[in-house]
Amino acid sequence: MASKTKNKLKERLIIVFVIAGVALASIDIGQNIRQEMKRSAQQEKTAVKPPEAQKIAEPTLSEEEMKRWAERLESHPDT
Amino acid sequence: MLLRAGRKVGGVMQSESTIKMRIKKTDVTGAKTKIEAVAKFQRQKKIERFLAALTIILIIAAWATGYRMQSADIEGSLLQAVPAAERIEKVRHGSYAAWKGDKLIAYIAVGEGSGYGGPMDIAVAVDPTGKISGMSVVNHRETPSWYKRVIENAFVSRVIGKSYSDTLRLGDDVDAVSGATYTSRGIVDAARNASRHIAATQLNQAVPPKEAEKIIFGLPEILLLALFILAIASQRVTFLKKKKLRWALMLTSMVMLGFVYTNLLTISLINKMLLGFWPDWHTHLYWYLLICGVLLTLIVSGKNSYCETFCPFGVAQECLGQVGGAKGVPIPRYQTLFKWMQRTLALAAVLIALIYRNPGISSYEIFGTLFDLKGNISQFFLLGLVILTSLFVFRPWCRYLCPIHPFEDFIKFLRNQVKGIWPQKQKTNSKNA
Repeated sequence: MASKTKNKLKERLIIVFVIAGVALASIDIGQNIRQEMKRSAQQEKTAVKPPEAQKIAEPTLSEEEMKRWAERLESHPDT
Repeated sequence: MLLRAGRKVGGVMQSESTIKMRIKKTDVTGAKTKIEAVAKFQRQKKIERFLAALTIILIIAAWATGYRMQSADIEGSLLQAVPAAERIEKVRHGSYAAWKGDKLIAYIAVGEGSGYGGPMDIAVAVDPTGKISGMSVVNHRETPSWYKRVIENAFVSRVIGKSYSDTLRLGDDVDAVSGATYTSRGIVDAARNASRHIAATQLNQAVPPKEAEKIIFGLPEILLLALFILAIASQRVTFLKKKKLRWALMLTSMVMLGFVYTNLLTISLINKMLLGFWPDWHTHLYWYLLICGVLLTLIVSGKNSYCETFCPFGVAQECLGQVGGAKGVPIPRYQTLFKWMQRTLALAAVLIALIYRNPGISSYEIFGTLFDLKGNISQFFLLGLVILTSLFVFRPWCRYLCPIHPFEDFIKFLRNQVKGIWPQKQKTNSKNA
């Protein structure tokens, strides 16, 4: 009689264990998925897209250099 | 006449003809029951075969979905490696240049390393003198609790300031984060690869030659091999001191593989295998030994030596069971339901991992929570529940929640299917001969 009651209690314990265990595991997985989605959303927010056409950084000429080049072109049109 | 021709059955006098009729009826009923039982068994087998085929289809579909969905937006994280940069431009050889005004402050390259959950992409910024000036993790597949541990311990700051000409190897000039060795190694390897790539292609520096990877075969690997061999030996019926050996193996495993190394078989490793994130065997030999050991023992003997004998978490439950007098409690009413709940949960975990291409995202085991005391609230609750139940029920986690158990059932099922085909093939061959 006592062992029957014991077994019944153990049965109930197992039922509670399984239901609670599945619920807690699902919560854990859900939290991980939420963190992963947050991380992807944050990555998209801080995205910096480089200029499309720019492949190699080209040097820029100052105003004086531009003037010298323009004068040179005028004096030597074939170059 | 009746009295003379009959006999007593159950204290009641019955004629021979009545007795014969009853026996015939019982035989018929028995045979009917037998036929029904065989039909039920065959129906069950058909359903199992159908569900196994459906599982394989779902796994392939999830893998394909995850593969299509994966984003290659690596460039989005470059600014995080060099926060001071005002603009980032793509340069030769797949690298980027970070500018502040007219001043070049760093080159950035994305290096790949192999973490616990698979490949990790790290954006590494190197200044014009060749020193690592910044890093950002672009993509990782680590189990969240382990990754959090690495970030909380500011592991990245241990690498920043190192030069491309440094050794940059875990254990040599960079210390790992305790309990997150694989993640630490992945980050360091990525930093080394990226910084040397920049030094060679952008800074025109001579980089140290690529060293052959050293094979990591230390105490954990030796211990694992020894445990497998002894576990198989202890399962032999003829072995005399089976029980004592089993307990010795169990306790050694719980202490060493559990508390010291915290290196258990998890659903993450299986997800990693399915995703194709097979790491370098030189540095991850333990992983190969564990997976191959489990698969081999399952396929050859039909028994999972790891789970039955030396899984550290199983051992911990069994130890608690010894304290509380735990016994296996059969629950015929709910046995099938609980079995299929466990299988469904494990399958869902695998499918989620394949879709997100992150082996650790759906890992719900609480091994780290017990052996390292690291985890979130729900994990600690679950651990408490397992501890309490283990006192009265034999290995409750293994029997009702562990995702490895359905994996083991699946392998056994496939093994039996192949075994079922093979003898038929042999019979047909001998007939034809």
